[in-house]
Amino acid sequence: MKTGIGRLIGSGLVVFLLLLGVASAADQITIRFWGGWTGPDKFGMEKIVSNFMEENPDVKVEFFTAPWTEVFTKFSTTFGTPAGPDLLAMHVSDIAQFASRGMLMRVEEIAKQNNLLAEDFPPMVWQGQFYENKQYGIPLDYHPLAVYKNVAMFRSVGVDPGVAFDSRETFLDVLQKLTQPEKQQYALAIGINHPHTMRYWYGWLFQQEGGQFLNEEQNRAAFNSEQGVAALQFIYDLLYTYKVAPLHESDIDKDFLTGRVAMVIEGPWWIPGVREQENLEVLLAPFPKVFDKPAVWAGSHTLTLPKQANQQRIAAAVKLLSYVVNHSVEWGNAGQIPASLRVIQSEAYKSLPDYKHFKVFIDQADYIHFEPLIVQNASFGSDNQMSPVLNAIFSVLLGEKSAKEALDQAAEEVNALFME
Amino acid sequence: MKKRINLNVMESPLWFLLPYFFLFSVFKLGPIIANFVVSGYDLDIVGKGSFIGFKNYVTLLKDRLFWVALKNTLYYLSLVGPVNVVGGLFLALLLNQHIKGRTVARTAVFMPYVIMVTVVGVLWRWILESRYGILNYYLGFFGIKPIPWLTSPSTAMIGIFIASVWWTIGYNTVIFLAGLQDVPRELIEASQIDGASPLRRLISVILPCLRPTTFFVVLTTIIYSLQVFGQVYTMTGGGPRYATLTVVQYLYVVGFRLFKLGYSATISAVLFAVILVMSLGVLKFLRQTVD
Repeated sequence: MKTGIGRLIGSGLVVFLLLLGVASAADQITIRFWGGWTGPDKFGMEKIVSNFMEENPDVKVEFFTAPWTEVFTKFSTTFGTPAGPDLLAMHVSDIAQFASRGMLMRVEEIAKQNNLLAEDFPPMVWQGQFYENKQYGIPLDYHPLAVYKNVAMFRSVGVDPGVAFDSRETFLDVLQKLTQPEKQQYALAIGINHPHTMRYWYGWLFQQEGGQFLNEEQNRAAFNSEQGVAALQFIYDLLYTYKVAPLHESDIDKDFLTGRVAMVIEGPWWIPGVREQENLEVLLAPFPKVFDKPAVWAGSHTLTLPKQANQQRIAAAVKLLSYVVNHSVEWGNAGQIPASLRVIQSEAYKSLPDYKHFKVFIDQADYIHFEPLIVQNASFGSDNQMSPVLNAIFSVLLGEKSAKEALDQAAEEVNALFME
Repeated sequence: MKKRINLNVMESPLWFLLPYFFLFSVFKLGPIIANFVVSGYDLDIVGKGSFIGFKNYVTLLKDRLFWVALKNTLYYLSLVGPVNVVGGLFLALLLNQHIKGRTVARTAVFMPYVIMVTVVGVLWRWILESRYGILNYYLGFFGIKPIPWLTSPSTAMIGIFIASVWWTIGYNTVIFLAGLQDVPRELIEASQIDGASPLRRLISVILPCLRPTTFFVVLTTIIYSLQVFGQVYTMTGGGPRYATLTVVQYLYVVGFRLFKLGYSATISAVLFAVILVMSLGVLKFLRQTVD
């Protein structure tokens, strides 16, 4: 008898739990979050998403990540269908492409309602979220460049690894001391096939007084100015006059990790990889100031909401967006600099093992420069291998053209893009 | 009363081709026609667009990068085509001999073809890396200085060519091998009895018998070479300095990075026309020879 009652209660409990499960599954909403992270940052974001789902059982997040181009192709082909993303990460330089096509929601109100305000982010990073004075993104992080120094190589030639590159003379002096051609060792990695080459030039271009990439109206090339030529000539000289960087270099990262070059200029995303290298002591320094004032190229990941009609999914996506931005310590640990000042000023973030490295990037926040945030940047920006500007720079570094000649031709091609 | 199936009608080979024609129409012919229609539009990725007639074709005529891409594609074809056809035939003749380890050798030659193109690209990017790649490492034993395979505009296409031949020559070899099985044994034996040398036998007996196979191999090599994309996408992205920019790589960038779908379709339509013209030319030339 007792057993019978026990069985009855047990069966009832099972049915109850099953019904509860069905009920809660019915209440749960599934949303899609897409990004283009393929390195250690992928795992960082996966962790944040998993934490979010644990804390918010009413939302199930399908997180998808692949190389950026593939994500955008997928986004474009699914746009307007139920298969598209509800929350989409991109770079600030991509916002114009999608916002101009009416594919993104404006987020001013959403930002206010969720207490994601301008004062909580570095000003330059916040400004990058706007296209034609309308806000389309909430900043997740920003990533300027910095110099990674191989401490042992510095010490071996008697140079203080802590040296600051605050003038052209200091920078050149250190570069020359670190170069030992007889040992096939060079001071700096530049690369002949990497978008970073354009980014170095971009940073140095802006260090000139008045140096700018486009005119004020943002509809005509201005980079073939005296300042632009001087900045590119400087990179050329590093290769051919001072000979402090290897020619025809195709893998700048490996050259640094194998001790062929003493310095590489990379973003914060590179920190987790370096951390795993045994017997490699690395010290970071801000992007070298070789002209009048400090400046550095930067990118920034931003979170956007693709336009759609389903209010429930929008609400869930906003909830996730807000969570990701406010809980980005883990994102910082994955090698990105969180954009939220509340996060980077928190004790949790400051106690991260690599904080001393991250600080070098954080300290550059006031003089970062994004590439032009306009639609045409997709054609001439550093991320497009077909960019006339990138290829002009390569042609100079390959010794095919002079800096002035190459930039003039690129300017002509960029101006033609504005005429289309 | 049950209706009987007319077996005479069912025996017609055309009925058996119907499923193919259906799939061909839906997945090949349909998109080709749609592509020509799209090429007349200034079409965006989200479907916003307006009809502009032949304007995209006029733009194409003045597009420097398209001409660079077409030139590079033809250059690639001129490198890969002869090597893949002649090399494929040579390997097939070699692997058709009664030698020890023939099966292993045949498998080894065909094996690269089953690898995905992305893997081929990454693998060869490592092999051809100027500083750390094994090719330059071994060339170093012969006193050859490191060659910047993929970073110099003058050698990048050669790098793509090497990877492509390694990847695809096995396919042609297998087709030629199949063709060699159809060469009548009595003809070979007769020529042997007549005292023909191996070279004479190849020229006068084997090659004439292989004409239909050669015809197929040449045609497919041309078509595949003009559509080269995967290796370029993974190994160089079209660089350095547009040296490996091919037509399909260019239309991919225009379509899926710049989202100019109408213009991308125009490039695709012109490539289709180039392939069609070249194929018809080869068809006419080789058919005359075969006949």
